[in-house]
Amino acid sequence: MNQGQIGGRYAQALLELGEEAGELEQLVLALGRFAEAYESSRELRRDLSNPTFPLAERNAALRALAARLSVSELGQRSLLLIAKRRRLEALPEIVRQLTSLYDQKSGILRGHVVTATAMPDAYFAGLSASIGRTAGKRVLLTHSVDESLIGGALLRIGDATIDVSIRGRLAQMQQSLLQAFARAS
Amino acid sequence: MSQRSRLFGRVSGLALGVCLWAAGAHAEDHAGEAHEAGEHAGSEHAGSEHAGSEHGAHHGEHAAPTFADINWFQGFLGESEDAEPGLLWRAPGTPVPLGALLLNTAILFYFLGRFGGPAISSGLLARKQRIAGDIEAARRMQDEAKKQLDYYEQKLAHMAAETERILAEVRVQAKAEHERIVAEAKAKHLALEEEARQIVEHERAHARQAAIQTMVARAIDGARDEITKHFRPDDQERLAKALEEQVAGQLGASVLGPTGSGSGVAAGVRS
Repeated sequence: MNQGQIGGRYAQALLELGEEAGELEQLVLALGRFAEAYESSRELRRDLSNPTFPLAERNAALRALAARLSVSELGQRSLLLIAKRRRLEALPEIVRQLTSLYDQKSGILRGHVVTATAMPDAYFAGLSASIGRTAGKRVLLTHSVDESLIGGALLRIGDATIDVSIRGRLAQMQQSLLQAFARAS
Repeated sequence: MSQRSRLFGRVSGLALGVCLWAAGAHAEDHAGEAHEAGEHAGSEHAGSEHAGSEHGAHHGEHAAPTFADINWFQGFLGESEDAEPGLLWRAPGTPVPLGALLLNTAILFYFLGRFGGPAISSGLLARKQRIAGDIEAARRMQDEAKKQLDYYEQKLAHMAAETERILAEVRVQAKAEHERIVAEAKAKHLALEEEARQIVEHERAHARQAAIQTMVARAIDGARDEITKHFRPDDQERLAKALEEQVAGQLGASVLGPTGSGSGVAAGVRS
């Protein structure tokens, strides 16, 4: 069984548990924080999966870290179950699929905007509202600055990209010129 | 006449000659002895020198034996003073009977023929056969040599014609080989020419493509530099607004709307 299949099964189970407990959003956010910490720390991954450490110690460490990240009791029990079944390596995929299921269920659309220069928050709020109106969903938008765009902005949402940057326009122009020359020859 | 008979005849003749010589020699000995006896008698009778010398001269005249002096049959067994001379005994000083010599010789040759003959005969026969075999081998070798000689003479006779034929064949083959090499060289030349033409075409196209890419890249770099130089904050605002408008417009609907739902790529705007 690959990581995608494992992630799908556990994500579905966690979704149902979260819904039953009425704390799905908190569960998704808390597990997201834990997965981020787990993925970013090589030592943490190594220690939590090290069979030379007693299981009780590993569970205690996992609980302590989860508590510091404000993971609820349901979330901690879920993490212990995943660790007991030696599926911690699949945790990032589980959380990604759980987030996706939660977004679908809640009608949430996540996106990221890159701009050439810093823009006011009002711009991102307006853009988010615009996307929300177009997609008919609640939009959670993050943003960053990339000067290599020269000017303009680039929106990534799901698998789609809308590029109105100068860099993008120049690349488009270069491609068009090359194709024109190729046709001419 | 057989070989054996001829051999026996020769040996018999030789033996008879030896016997006659021996008998003659014995008679001479006997005459010598008589002469010595005469001399002895002369010395004993010194007073009668004349008589002695006359006797010696007489005896010297009769020293050569005659055919009548030959003892043919007396004394086959030996000499005896007591016995009357006859077939078995003879008086002392009488020569050995020639008959005994002939008889002994006959017996000798009988034994030679009886016991030594077959060995000699077989040896001679083997020698004859060996010589005949050698002669036959020599004859065969001579025939073989003659055949070889004939063969080489024939070959020499045909050598000139063979040489001419070979030369003609070589000329034909050389001509064919020459034509083949020329044809191959022509084909290779054409292939190389075609290959070179294709390489030149490819290189030309490649160089042209590289030149176009360089030219376009330089043009884009120039445009980028110009835009960067003259880009103003209100340009950024205008472009940011354009993104908002596109999201709200038809493009946004196709990408983000219920049909697009964030799973497509906005055509023409993906960098």
